[in-house]
Amino acid sequence: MSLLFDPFEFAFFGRALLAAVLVGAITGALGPFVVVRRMAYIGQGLSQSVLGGVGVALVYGAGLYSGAIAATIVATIAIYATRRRGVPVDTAIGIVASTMFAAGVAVISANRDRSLNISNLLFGNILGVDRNDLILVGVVVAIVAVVLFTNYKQLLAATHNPAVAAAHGVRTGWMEILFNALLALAVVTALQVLGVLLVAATLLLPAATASLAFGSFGRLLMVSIALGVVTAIIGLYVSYYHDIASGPAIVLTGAAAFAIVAFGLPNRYRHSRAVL
Amino acid sequence: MTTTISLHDVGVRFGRTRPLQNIDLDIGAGELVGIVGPSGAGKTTLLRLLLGEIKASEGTISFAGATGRGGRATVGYVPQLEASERTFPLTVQGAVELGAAATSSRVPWFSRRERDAARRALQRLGIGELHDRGLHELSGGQFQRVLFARALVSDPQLLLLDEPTSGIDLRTRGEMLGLVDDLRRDGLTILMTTHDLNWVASHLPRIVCLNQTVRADGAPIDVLQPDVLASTFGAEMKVIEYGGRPVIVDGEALVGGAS
Repeated sequence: MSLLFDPFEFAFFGRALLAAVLVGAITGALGPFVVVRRMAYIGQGLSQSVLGGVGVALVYGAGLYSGAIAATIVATIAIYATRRRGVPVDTAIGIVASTMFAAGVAVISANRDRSLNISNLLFGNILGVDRNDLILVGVVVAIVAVVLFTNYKQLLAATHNPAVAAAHGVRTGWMEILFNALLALAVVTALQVLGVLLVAATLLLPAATASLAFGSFGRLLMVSIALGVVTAIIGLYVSYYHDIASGPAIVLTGAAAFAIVAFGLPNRYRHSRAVL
Repeated sequence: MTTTISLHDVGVRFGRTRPLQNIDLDIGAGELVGIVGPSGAGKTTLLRLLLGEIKASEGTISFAGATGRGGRATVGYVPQLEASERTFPLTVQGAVELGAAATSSRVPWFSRRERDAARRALQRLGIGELHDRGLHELSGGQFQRVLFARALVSDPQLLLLDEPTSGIDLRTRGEMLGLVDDLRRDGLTILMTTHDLNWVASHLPRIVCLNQTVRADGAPIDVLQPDVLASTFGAEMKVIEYGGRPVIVDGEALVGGAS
């Protein structure tokens, strides 16, 4: 039992664990929508784009989160504008994400005298989570929970078939905006815990793992949230005891869970045509 | 309540292109109408107009007796069969309930009344026993019935079917026709688009030939004539009569068959 409780001798571990659990719940809840919409690249693109804004914000003295929020807005507008020029959506996301990522690295590397640790931005620094970070994560969890609770049926209908949902009276355009806003909030919130390179993985892994076994979206969602939370907890302990960054530890734990289910789950328990 | 649809001199512009122009069409309550035309003829644009997805650039559309939002008819929409929909992690019951999502309460589950309505729609379509199956477990015909059930669950006034005969076998087509006929008898107004001329010729009471504008409108035996088909499809087609019904034969195929 001491293995479980020893880390709590350090105050930062309790805060880190709470942040990891909350972020795991958010990414676990949004992940199934990302997976069934086949929009894994959006999460990846959005999270990479964030580095540009964060880099500029930190170098010029603004806060990490204000830079991240500004970056997601700029990235969304830039992707939309690029698409309007006739560029396919995946190419537009690739161009915008790579450019903003490069801009972030360029700005940070040009300011070597500042106390910026690019590794923390890329892979997360959960030990740096303070009380304000926890409040922010808590507020975002509450927002995501309320929005998902009150819009679940319409969001699911719009995800299943937007054309049919619109024909039957669902405001699919509004649902699209709502979901992308939640996704952007999740990416910004998970930044401190997971880093810009690994946020997308936590949107995918719990949902993809659950989708192998469950053919009902409601169950998939619940199991994905549970997996997001459990892998975050296990990953954080692995991070503590093996002295590795929190982001990679959580992602590797999620990947291990996926591998176990993907290759170890007997066929009779398998959702035979997984959504991947 | 049933609805009557009237389109008067309706046109649609997308920039410089005009997919529809000068459309005059009256569809009575409880009518079953097939819209035929080649790819790019404006069939989908006409459906999108009736769905309210796009607005007419000119002319007027009216829905007499409509009870939907903005004076429109409440619509049930059955799309073309898509593989991606069938791999979605939903049960049959869950998929049908989503047809009522727009008018349902804010809580993330459906009410008992909505669940019962979904179950009744499934029973009406003869697949009530499949309610707890996953969509991926269904045959093509069963899945199409689920799409119909989803369209009917909120008791619409107008049913729009987009290419309902594509991608299904002959037996399923026959089943679908019986189903559509039952729904029409219940007073539902039904419009369907299709490429399948011979199917509509032998099964539908009224056909509208569409290519940017209405080329012909009436009973199959009156409408499916070589000159109308040539102006609608831009290709020569032969029409022969079999059992009192028109049968359309590709002009080249007839020549090839004769040689």
